[in-house]
Amino acid sequence: MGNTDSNEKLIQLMNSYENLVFSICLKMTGDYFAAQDITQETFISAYSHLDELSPGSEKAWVCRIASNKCIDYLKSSERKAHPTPEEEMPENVTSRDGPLETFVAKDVMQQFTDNCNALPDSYIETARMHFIEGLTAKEISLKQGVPLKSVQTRIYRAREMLKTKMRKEDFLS
Amino acid sequence: MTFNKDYLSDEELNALIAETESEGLVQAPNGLHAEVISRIDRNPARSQKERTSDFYKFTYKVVLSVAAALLLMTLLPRSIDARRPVPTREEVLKERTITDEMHILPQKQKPTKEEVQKDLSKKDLITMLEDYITEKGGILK
Repeated sequence: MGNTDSNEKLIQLMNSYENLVFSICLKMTGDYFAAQDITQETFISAYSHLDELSPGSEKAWVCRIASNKCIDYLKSSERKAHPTPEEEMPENVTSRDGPLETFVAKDVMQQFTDNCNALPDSYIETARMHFIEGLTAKEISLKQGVPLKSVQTRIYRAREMLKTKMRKEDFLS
Repeated sequence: MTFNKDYLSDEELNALIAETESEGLVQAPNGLHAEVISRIDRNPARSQKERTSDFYKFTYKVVLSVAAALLLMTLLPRSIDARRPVPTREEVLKERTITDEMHILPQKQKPTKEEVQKDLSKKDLITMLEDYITEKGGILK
């Protein structure tokens, strides 16, 4: 498959399934930023393996990549939280006994919005415009009349505060 | 929420997709498209053929390096030998013998007591004794 064809195929896949993939990642991870990263990695991985795509099964194929990456992410997160060697783990940990535990994607997004609104005053507007409305730093800078560098710094700090808050909530749950 | 390392089965995946769609999809972040395209441009994907070809090139380099190392291991010691051959045991012993002989001081043939007494008279002996003591710095009184 030529480079141009691959790019076109990728854009087509993204246009068709990016919301679905993002929703699945939100549902499985419960983490806005992790879902964002995994969605990107899903499409990058799909682009690398476009040769393996069989026509008619694009949806399931892309969602399969996304779900596998989510499971890998959750496995590595658990290991970071509880670093136990594989041989010491009890045997039944690796078998799934019940149904998959997931979140509701919209609830995760609502919680994320609430967390954005709970940020310090100087960061709320920037976080809302960037994370919820999807504006770039440049667009926010033009809209607010604030230097670009300041906007970028606020976005970075807001991201760090939101990540810390979500990790705390995850730990407490 | 706990997960195990087993990936979803086909049925579970289909159920997950159906559930996600029924709950309503969430809008993906706006910059996703641009971010993915820019990451791909930075690290362009390679086809399976290219990856296989890279692997074989790498394997070839490793084999060549090992062969070169083995060749050097066999050739280099011989080339060193040509310049400085290892001496045999006999040659070493010969040298040692010669060295030992060189280090042996020529021993004066010292006459025995009987021979001295035979050759010299009593007076001559006393004179000899006196000269010896004088040389040595005298007798302490």
